[in-house]
Amino acid sequence: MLALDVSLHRGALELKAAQAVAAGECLALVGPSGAGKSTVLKIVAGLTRPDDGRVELDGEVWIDREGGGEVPADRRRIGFVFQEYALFPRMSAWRNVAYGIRGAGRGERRLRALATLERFGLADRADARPSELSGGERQRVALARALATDPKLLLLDEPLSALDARTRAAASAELAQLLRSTEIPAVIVTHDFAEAALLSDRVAVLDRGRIVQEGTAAELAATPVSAFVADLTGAVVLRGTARPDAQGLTAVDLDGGGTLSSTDVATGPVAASVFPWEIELGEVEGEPAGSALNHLIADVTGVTEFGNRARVGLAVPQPLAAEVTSASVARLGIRPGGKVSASWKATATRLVSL
Amino acid sequence: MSSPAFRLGSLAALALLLSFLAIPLLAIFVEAGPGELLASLGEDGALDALSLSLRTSLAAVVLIVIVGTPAAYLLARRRFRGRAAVITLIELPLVLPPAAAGIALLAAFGPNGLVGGAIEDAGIRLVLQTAGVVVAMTFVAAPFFVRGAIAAFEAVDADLLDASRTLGAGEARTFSRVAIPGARAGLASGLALAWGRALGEFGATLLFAGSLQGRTQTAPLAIFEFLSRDFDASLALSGVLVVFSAVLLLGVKLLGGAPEAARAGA
Repeated sequence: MLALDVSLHRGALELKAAQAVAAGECLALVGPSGAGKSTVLKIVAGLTRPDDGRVELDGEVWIDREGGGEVPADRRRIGFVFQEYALFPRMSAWRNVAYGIRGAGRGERRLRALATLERFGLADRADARPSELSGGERQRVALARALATDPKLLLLDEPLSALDARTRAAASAELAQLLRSTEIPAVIVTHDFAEAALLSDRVAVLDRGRIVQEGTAAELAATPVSAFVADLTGAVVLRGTARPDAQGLTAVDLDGGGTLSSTDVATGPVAASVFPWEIELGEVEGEPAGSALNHLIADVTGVTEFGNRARVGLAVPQPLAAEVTSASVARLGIRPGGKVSASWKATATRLVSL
Repeated sequence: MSSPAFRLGSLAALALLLSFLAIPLLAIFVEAGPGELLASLGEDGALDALSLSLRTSLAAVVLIVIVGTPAAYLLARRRFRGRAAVITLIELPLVLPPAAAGIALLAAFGPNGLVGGAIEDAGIRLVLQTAGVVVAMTFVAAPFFVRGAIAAFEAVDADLLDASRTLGAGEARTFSRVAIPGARAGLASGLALAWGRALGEFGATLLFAGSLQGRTQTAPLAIFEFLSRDFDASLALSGVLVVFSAVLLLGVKLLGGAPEAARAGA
């Protein structure tokens, strides 16, 4: 388990963060740029020294500003994936991966590097320089390099942001699978809430150096503590299985019940996302009107108002969030424990294959 | 879009600059043919001076690189109070008149100098000695290398150094495996400039080490001495220095510019 409780004052940044991440768990740090997300990762990695506090992994103290102990970065056994991947430009892919492998002869290191590359589907790119690799290949080499050392902790700084949109969908699905299968704690930094929702078990929202809210992605979307968190959460994600339907659309059978339609094409396990402000709420008895194809009967789990708008937490039974005006909440009598019908268009439903 | 008049003006400026820089260099080889140049090298003392110049400048450059590289790395990576003052101090010999540098060296390391006694007690003699030539060259040439090295290390992506650390490499291994290969081109050009400056050193050497043939008389000092009695020998030595400097600069540019030249392998 990773445990950290640190503070740092650097320029305009006043950082103060405390978190614990269990083995096999993935924590996402989400927030705008300048919020201090990457700084937290660097403190954990030993690349930046906190002013105060401590970091420990599995009971081993990595730094303790009170007790004075410090384990240098190169002794922490961390797998770190950098935002732009930071692959050594003059080394081939396999040499990059072999760089961190220790306690083995040259031939043995090469074999282990090649085996790791093969696991990431890059066996035939082993001799290529980073400049000869595509963005997606570079990202996989960076992951292979980080994991080849058999690390005790995985840290990922915006691992998908350097990819173009098309590559990103496939890479995020691969990364989600990888993170589910690792048994070490992982921390991922991202400015994209949807990415955090897809990749992590728990999300902590960082704003100007402080963690303003934490919980599952669904909890944050349904009951944000502030307008800042509400705006950050963006799209809500529902998981299910996609199949083509008779009208040329894609039907998604949601895990736990309910079916959606989407204009996106996909088959098999998918994440379906929809923005809370695309969802229209109505009375359960009312006849569905308009062009929206998706209608789900939902339990209201929470109502959070900020100013003239309100976040309504829903269970369909998967958690979902809708954003409507405060006036609508009052008019429809929406309150926790009640039922509403949630409607939105198939064209507002994005699918990502998992 | 640049206007035709401006483009014409820029071209004229470039042509003027090129001819001003190239004509004197060409003149050396026009004044004396290759055969004459080689013959003049047989002049008493000319070959001695050349060989001394090469040996002393090589020694100075080796000293500068060994000490200057880690020092430049430290200055490039760390931010501390007084850093700007330290860098200014390192750059000072760049603008110091060579004669003043020679006097400064005498005042410091001369027999009655600030630390001259201590050096003499240690059994080291510099003034009027070959070692003194190396000291004078190192003093004036070091800033050329260190400045370039600081800039080169600052340009290395900090994430690469961090990546190396997280992959289990200590600071020393990160320095030799990632920082130096990453800064190679800048280090090489700094080295070429420093070497060129050391080869051309005149004033500080003359004041600190003198101009004793075979011991402290480097090629530039010999050129000056020959000037009054044998202009052709001066020309010949100058020609050799020009060719050597050009080869040095070109070689370093090729070495530093080619990504395949130095392999940073496991």
